[in-house]
Order: sequence, then structure tokens, then C-alpha cells
Amino acid sequence: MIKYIIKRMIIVFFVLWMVATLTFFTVHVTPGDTANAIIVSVYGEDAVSPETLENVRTKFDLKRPVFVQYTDWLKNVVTGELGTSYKYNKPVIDILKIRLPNTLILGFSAFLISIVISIPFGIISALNHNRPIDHFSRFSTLLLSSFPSFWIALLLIIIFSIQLKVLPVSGMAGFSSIILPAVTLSIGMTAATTRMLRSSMLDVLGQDYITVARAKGLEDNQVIFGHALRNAIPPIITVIGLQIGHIIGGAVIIENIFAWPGIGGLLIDSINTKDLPMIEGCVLIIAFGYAIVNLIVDITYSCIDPRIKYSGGDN
Amino acid sequence: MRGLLEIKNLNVSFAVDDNHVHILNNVSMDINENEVLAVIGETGCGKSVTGSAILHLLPDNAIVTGNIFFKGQDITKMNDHEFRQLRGQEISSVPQSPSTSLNPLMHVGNQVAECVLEKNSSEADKKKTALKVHEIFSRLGLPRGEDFYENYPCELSGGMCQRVLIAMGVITHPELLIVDEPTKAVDWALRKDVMDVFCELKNDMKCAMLFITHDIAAAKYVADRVAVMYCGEVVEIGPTDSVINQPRHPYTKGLIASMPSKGFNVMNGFMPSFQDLPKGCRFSDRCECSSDICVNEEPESVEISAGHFTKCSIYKNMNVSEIFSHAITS
Amino acid sequence: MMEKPVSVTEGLRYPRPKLAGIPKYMNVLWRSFNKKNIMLTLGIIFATFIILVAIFAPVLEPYDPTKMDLALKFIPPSAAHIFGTDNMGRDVLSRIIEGSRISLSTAFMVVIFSACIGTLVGMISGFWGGKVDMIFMRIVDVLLAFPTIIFALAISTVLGTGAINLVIAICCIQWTSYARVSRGEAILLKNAEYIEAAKAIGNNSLQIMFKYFLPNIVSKILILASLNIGSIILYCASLSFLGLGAQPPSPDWGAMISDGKEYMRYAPWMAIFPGLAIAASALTFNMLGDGVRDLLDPRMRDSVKTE
Repeated sequence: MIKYIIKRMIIVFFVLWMVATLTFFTVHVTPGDTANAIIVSVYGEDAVSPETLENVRTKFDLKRPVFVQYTDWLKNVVTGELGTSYKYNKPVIDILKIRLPNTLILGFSAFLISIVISIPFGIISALNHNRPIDHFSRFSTLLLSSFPSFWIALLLIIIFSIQLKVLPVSGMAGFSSIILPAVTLSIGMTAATTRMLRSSMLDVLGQDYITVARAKGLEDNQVIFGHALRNAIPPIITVIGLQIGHIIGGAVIIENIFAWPGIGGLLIDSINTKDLPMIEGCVLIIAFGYAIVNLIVDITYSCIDPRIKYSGGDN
Repeated sequence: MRGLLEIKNLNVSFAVDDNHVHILNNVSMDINENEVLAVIGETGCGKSVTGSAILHLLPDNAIVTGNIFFKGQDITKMNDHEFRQLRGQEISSVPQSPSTSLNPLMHVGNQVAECVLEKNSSEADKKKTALKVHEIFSRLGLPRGEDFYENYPCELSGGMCQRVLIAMGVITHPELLIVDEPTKAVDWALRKDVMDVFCELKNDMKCAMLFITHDIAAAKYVADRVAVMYCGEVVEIGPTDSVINQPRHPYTKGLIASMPSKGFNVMNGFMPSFQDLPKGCRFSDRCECSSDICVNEEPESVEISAGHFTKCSIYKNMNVSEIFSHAITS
Repeated sequence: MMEKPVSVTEGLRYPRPKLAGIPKYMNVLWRSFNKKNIMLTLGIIFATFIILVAIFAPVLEPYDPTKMDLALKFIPPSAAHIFGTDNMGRDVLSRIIEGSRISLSTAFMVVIFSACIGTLVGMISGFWGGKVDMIFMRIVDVLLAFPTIIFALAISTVLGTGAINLVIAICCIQWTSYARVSRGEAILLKNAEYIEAAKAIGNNSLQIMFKYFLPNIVSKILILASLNIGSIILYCASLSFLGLGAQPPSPDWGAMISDGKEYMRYAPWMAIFPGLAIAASALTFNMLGDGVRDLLDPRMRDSVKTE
């Protein structure tokens, strides 16, 4: 068990290092001159001239070979030093520190909403296989997973903020402002988790050991919660891990629409203004967070399923 | 000896798409206390369906008619809640395929203990049950001790899983144990061991058994009486000696002749599909003694000797001496 | 005595279709109608409809989708303009019809490219094992550490915006799921006895991969691809909503919603109808995917629907 966790940790560290490398090269090897991009992002198109270019190159240490820049940058990343934002002229890490909690609050609320809705729905749907409620839940999850989240966001704004005027359009002020973004963000995960739990439950309910559990004379509730649900959970954990990725990705769009002051909105802003250190910082922190979530998912999985120990986790 | 279980004209059909597939046709058999009845037949003849019908474990699309009396009570008339008091306590079962019948995410000890424990049992009860589980494990030749209790099924061999399943079946001291193909997933070297376990259970625990198998040798080893099923019907039932050594029904004869020790003479043809059954006797299209009456009329059950019944038209109008001579000549 | 070779379970269990070529796929398709696979039937009907609309877009458009006429701006849905007009006075319906071409072609390109690359990489990785396998799988691990949208955003900062760059950006992540599935299958197949036999009769690695592995992997890849199209449509729409897709004046659905967002107080139809178009096409291909999966491999259920 410990061996398995250590093995996963090593892989995660390797992945994080590669992620950092990939991020650096993706962003730094942009076509066009980095110095040019800095000037455009800070002073606008008109300020570009040979002198300013030269100044910026000296100021931001862009004259060194890319590889030297990379090793320096990597050292800084390890110590938490992510450079200075071109646009805000402040350390990237400071801005991330302010923005990250907002994204976490939003993501966690969305996660909670989907878990609370999808788990009972998945179970009910599986237990009523091929009855009207099952058809309803299958169809509605299919429908919800087909709606683009940003469109739902707009519809919700039109209905609740513009027409009914019960919830704020955007921004972050108090509890009411988190409702719309969190609900929108949770939809995709709710649909996916419900569908997965349903099919996983159906799979398990058809297994021999469920019949055996019933043959033991156990109550239906004991069979469903003690035997069926426990076995249906492991595949769900994998899906939840993947869906957290979707939540993170979705947060970029949702934050943008609702003007939620989180990492996602910051990333889009930075891309639009070509604020390279900021882009690097956002992408890194998102990828790091996602990798850690996946590590947690893997470890949880191996705690639940004893069979992982023997297969070594190579699925 | 008192009758423990009596199945009377049990019919089971399944609703598949828009059709009804009639699987069990007027199955009747009975088991006395502390008696082992072996049910033998080919795969798909309805042996396991009979077992599941007794345990109320048929799928939702099954339609059951007829009566099953357990200690005088008709269990087909009971609702799920009433029957659950019997299931696992007085009637329990040992399922086939040990590899898939254990919950892979639960300690085997807990799976056995679960059969005894009530829903909200105290810590003391749990301890007592754990001791009981240990006792039954060691009795079945499984390693004693905490370590074994906390194994997951994936850590055990097939034979050990089979024994754990047997432990689950017998821990409540049931009066009737339904054993479904216990030797199916066990290799030949372990087969004798498993059979000995059942013989011991029968002698020590005094429980009656419905022993479902396609292994005639195993049936002969453990059973007091044998029922032969073909295509959802009981074609022959009687004391083990009488059925195995003097089989009367052509199907039983064929089945016994196909045993390796009796010459491996496998019967021609296959069991017909349940959706396309012959009109008269269900065995008529494969039977070597088939005549017009077999093709057109469903045979009736005839008592050949004491407690030995067979469902074949050959014996319909014979008297005892004729039957006897028929048995010798064929 | 007559011998009657009738299977015991005939009529109770449907034989699993074996897939080896186009004619059998047609056969399978026909059987799906008989088996009342509603998802597949509806999916096929709607998908055909959407594809036809995309093909015949120029004929079907009531107005020129790019022609601006400021006199006609912000007309609510009416008889002349069923879905209304936008801030430039362009007919929303015509733009949606024209946009179907962009959406579908982008989604199909992504699926085809990622399926080809992923299958090839997965097959090689599973077949050779060892170092090759390790390197490829670590690459997959690294790529999967990025949520698709984040990675696509990073890529487009490098490549710039535009439909083709969008395809490349999404492909960069999407091929990994195909690689995982085909690698898994290849590892299973590698140990099969008939592959041993194929080696014994003198096939080389390349022949084994394409003659023996590929036909066996195709059905799984097909299921994955059909389940994938719906979510690809959504990804493309999300990215073009963020301004990374086809550039104006091309009528891209995501970009249309992005435009409509500015005017949602006065002209909500500008955002609502393109969104409906996205939802309808994603739904269609999701139904198709579900149906194909139920048909080809009922046991696979949702298990392959990974990111």
C-alpha cells in the first residue's frame, strides 16, 4: 500500500516537472518576440521601437539563451517565485494568492452541488431500471451533458438576473452571487456522475454476490448500501477525478461570464494581454492542482479497492 | 422421517420481450428432514431455476405458479418481508461460481458474520459472532485466526472461496441447504474434499440438502435420493441406488451411459430450445424408444418401485413384471 | 433418430456481433432497428439531418449570412427572420445554418485526427511495451495533467487563434484517450494465442499490427469516437466562445453566443438560438454515441467515457 502511494507520488512529481517544462516552452517559444509582446501588453502597440525593445530585453533578462532562462525559471518555480506580471507589475504569486481562494470556493461549491444531486439520482435510477424515473434521469442527464455551460450561464442570467431580478448578474458579493456560477459549473459533473453511478450500480446489481447477499436474508437496504453501493463507488471516483478537471476547465469560462475574480478569469485576461508570467503562473497552478487531485483520487481508489494492491495500479 | 420441503406442480416462465418462455413445467419433488436430494441434469435444464425459485431469488420477469411447502407453510404465497425471515436462517444456500459470489470489497469474515448479525447488533454480539465464524472456518479446514478473517476474496484460492461460501450457508444452522453446483469451479484434486465437507455437514449438522449438480458421481456419493431433470421437467426421481443402478427413463439411461466410468457413450442431439419444444414428451426427439404416443402425448409420472417415479410413456400400461423385464432387456 | 442441432439458449441470448468489415456493420445497424435501440435510431436520423443541413447550407440559408445591414439590426424573431437578426443586421438563422459547417467540420477533424494518432500510438505502445511504452505513457500522463480547455488555451497563445489552430489545440489532448484504450486492447491481444500463431507463420510486427490488432481495436475506437463527438462539439464551442476559434466574420456558433452576450438584455435571441444549435447537435451525437456503444458493446457502458 505504502509502496503503491510512493510509486504514484514519484509519477506525480515527474508529471509536475514535465508540466512546468512544457508550460515554459509553450509560453516562451511563442512566435514573435517576447519583448515585443511585453511592450504591447504594458504600453500598447505604439510604444514599440528599437530603443524600448532593447530596454525591455535588458530589464526582463531576455538576452540569455533559452536553456539558461529555463533552468533559472525552474529554480524559481521550486521556491515559489513565479516572476513579475507585466500588466500588474506585481509578483505573480501574490496575485494568485488573492485569486486562488475564490476559484476554490466556486469549484468546491459546484463539486458539492453535483455530489448531493448525482449520488441519490444515480442510485434511484439504477434501482428503478427501465421504469419512468430511470428514463427521465437518463434523458435529462443526456440533455444536460449536451448543453454548453456558457450558454446555460447566459440563460440563467437572462432568467434570474434580468427577468426575475432575484440574483446578481456578476461579481462576487455575498452568498447570492455564487449561486448562478456554482450551479452552472456543477451541471456537467452532475450529469456525468449520475450516468456513471447508474451504469456502475446496474453492473454491480447484476453480479452474483448481490444475489448471494439477498440469499443471506439481508434487508434490501443492507444489500443496496452495504454491498452494491460500495462496489459501485470505485469507478465513480475515477469519473469524479476527471470531472474535477472539467470543473477547472469550466471555471475558466464561467468566471469569465460572471466576472468572478478567480484564476480562470485571470488566465483569460492574461492571454488577451499577453502577460506571459501570469499565463505561466495560472497554467502551472491549475495543472499542479489537477495533478494533486488525481493523486488523491488514485490513493482513495487504492484504499477502497484491495485488488489494486495486486495489479500494481496499472490499469 | 418428516417431510421438510414439498414442491408441487411448480411452473416458472420468463417474460422475454413479448414472449413467455416456459422454463419449469410441473416440477414436483420433496425433501425429508436430514435428507440429501440430488438434482442432476444437463446445463440449462432448469436445476438452478428450481433452487432460485425456492429462495425467491428469480429475476423480476419470472412468473411463478404452483406451491412450495416448507414445514407445511406455502412459501410461494409469502411476501418478501415474511420470506426474508426464513431465507438465510432456515433455508440457506451455497451458490455456484465461488469467484464471483463473494463481494470483492469486503473481508470474507464479515461476509460470513453478516449472515448471523442483526442490523443493529452490539459490540458484544459482534465479538461472539466473530468467534462463531472462526469456529466454522476451522471446521471447514480453513486457517484459523484473525488473519484469515480479514482476507479479501481476491487473496484466496477458488477452493478457499468455495469453503467461505459453504461457511456462509451453514453458519445459521439451516434446516434446508440449497447447494448449487459445488464442484463446478473446483478442480478434480479438490473435488473429493468438497464432497467430504458436505457429507460431514449432513452427518454433523443434520441439515437437509437440495444438491444441484451435473456431476452424477458426486450425486451418488452424497445423496439419499436423486431427481433427474430434463428440459424443465423432473423425468425421474427415486432413491439414489435405484435411479443410478436401474435407471428407467431413457434420458437417465443415456445420462448414466455418458459417464466416463460407464463408457462415455454420449447421447445424440441437443436439448431443444425452450421456445421450440416438442409437443408430446420433451425427450421424444432424442429418445431411442420413441413411438407415436411419445410424440403426441405428454407422459405421466409412473411409480416403478417404492418411491421411484418416472415420467415416460413406455411404462404407462405395463404391470410390474413387464416393467421388470423391460429394465433387464434394455 | 433425427439429430437436431438447436442451441439451448437460442432466442434467449443474442449472439455478440463480430466486427470485421463494412457489410457486417450494416447488418449490425439493421439489427439495431429490430432491437428497438431508440437512441441509435434517433441519433442516426438527427445526425443525418444535421449533416445534410451542413452540406446544403448555401441552398437552405434564407439570407446571406455575412451581409450586414444596420437598418435591420436587432429585429426580434418574426416571420421574415425566424430567429431574429443580430447587432449587424445579419439573419441569425442563416448564420446558424452556415455555422453548422464550421462546427461539424472542426469536430470531425478533431475526432478523426485524434483517433488516428491515438490508435497508432496506443497500438505501438502496447505492442512493443518496455521503454517505448513507458515514454508514450508518461507523455500521456503529462498531457492528462492539463484540463483540455486550459491546454488548448495555452496552445492557442502560441499558435494564435483560428479554426485550424483550434483543431490542433484540442487534438493535442484528445488523442490520449484513444491511445489509452488502444494500448489496453493491444496488451490484451498481444498475449492471445492467435497472435502467437500469426507470428509463428512469419508475419512481421507491422503486419501483425495492421492485420490482426487493428480490426480488433476498431470497434472500441469507434465507440469511443462516437461518444467523443458530442463533447468535442462542446469543447470547440467553448473555445470559440472565448474567441479562439474561427474569426469574424465567419459565423461560428460559440462566437455568436459571445457576441450575443453583450446584447442579452435587449436581444436575448442572439445568444439563445446559436446555443440551441450547439445543444441540439451535441445531443444528437451523444445519442448516436450511446446507441453505438449499446449496440457494439453493451458491457462497456459509460466506462470509456473519459475525458
